[in-house]
Amino acid sequence: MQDERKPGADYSVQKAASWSGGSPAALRLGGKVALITGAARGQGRSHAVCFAAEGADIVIADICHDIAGVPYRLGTKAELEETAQAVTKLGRRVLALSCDVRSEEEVAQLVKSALAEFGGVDILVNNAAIGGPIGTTWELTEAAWREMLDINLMGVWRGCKALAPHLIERQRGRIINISSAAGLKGIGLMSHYAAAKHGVIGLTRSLAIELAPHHVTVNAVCPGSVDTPLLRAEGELYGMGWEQAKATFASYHLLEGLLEPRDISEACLWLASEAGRFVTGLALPVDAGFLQK
Amino acid sequence: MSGLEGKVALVTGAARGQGRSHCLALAERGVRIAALDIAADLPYPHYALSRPEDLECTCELVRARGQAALALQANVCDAAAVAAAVAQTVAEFGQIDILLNNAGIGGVAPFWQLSEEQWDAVINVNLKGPWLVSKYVTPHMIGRKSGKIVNTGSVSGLRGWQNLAHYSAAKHGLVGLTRTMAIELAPYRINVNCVLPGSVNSPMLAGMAEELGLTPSDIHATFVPNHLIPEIIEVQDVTNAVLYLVSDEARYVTGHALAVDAGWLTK
Repeated sequence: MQDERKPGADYSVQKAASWSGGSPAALRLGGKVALITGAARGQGRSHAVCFAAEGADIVIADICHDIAGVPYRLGTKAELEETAQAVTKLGRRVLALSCDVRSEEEVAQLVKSALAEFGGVDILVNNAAIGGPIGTTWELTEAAWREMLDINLMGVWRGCKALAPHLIERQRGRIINISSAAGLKGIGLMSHYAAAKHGVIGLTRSLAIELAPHHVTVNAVCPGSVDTPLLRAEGELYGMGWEQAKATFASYHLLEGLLEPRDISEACLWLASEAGRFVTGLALPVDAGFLQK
Repeated sequence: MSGLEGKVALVTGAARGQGRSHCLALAERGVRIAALDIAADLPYPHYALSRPEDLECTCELVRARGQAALALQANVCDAAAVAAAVAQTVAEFGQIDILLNNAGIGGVAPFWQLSEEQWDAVINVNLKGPWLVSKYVTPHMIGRKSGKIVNTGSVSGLRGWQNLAHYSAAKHGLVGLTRTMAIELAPYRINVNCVLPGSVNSPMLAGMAEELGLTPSDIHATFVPNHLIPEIIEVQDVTNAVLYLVSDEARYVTGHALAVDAGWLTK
């Protein structure tokens, strides 16, 4: 894909018609490299497969072990490997690595390995996040709060920090931070989650300002209730069976039903593709109307 | 709240409800009041608007608080009437320090069932009105490099609500008007803000409830669940926010949309 933002680029209608976005048949991320965290399953896996299908080579990472303070099973090495195989099946190159986003060293090493393998990274999706434990604000422990902020907010920041110098050097790139509808409104029993996800939007907007001079866009995506392992674990934490949880989470939406991971991938794809080149600093809800209800 | 003694306020929709409450609270703090209201029915909304005796009652209550009151019967959408009312206020009181664009109407129907007349009526009163009154009042504030303007928006100015397409569109527009006026008037030290009430116990809410076929006892059950704090808001609660915005305490608050919504927007 050409960089259309170079000085003297041809912005004529004829030229525009030849952009990859102008032709449905063309791959929207051909020749790009995307780094996706939290990719063992759920939304992260969906992003990896979706981006690979659009021509990108993929670096995927996940923690690949459980955490004492998080009361449900996290992504495993085997699940990360399944994601990798799905990318390979699409004919794209893949690098799968374990990475704990709580560690600055591990995140830095992840970026280093990605650059060593592919020579560059064009797109970063900071997707890794946890959804529990849950509790009222006055019941949540300090340890639970710290863990939540460490992963859901600081983990995003660590990803941005590690890759930014490379994107600045190349004078192009896309960063997509996964926030939540809870990044724009409060949610009972999840104040730490909402605080972290609100924080992601503040980080995104500030970074958009800082990286705009370097032709790097930075956006946040705010999903509603998406059918993922995280949401299913969430339902259990609320003491609900899946049928009841599904109905409860769907009742937050204006549109019927739960979102699928691919609904979020489509938004990320738009932001990562040529079509999103002038979109930056956005907090984009993909929430079935959650925020309007 | 300080700094209101001796000021002059022009309040639209002053005959009853929130507007009357604003007038009385300002009068209690030493403000002379120009009370403007249509004091007549319009073809739309379907509920009864105020009467001349309501407007006179507001003025009497202001006078009972030791302040001068001027009753101005005018439609906020009628440029000639607004210009005349502003001129009369300046002639009577010599200045205008505070403008409260409070006049508003409401109606309920799915957007595809609204007639063009109904759409226009709500946009006119709730959006064009505040612009028009501000247009004629601000020159008097600009010259003196001081002034406070508070527009009455609504929760519906920041989010949609079923059956209120025209109302919500007008109130969203009012937030945009407020922010733009704040930018244009800041060099003249004129603060422009809006308040966003939730469901307030007022003649307008009663009128809209009537249109929905709700009995007074249904009003509580229908509107309260929208609030985080499970009560209907009283007019005095909105007045308290307006008092803050027009006071010296809020001198650096401008361009703001202040919700007084019992948590509706947070829910």
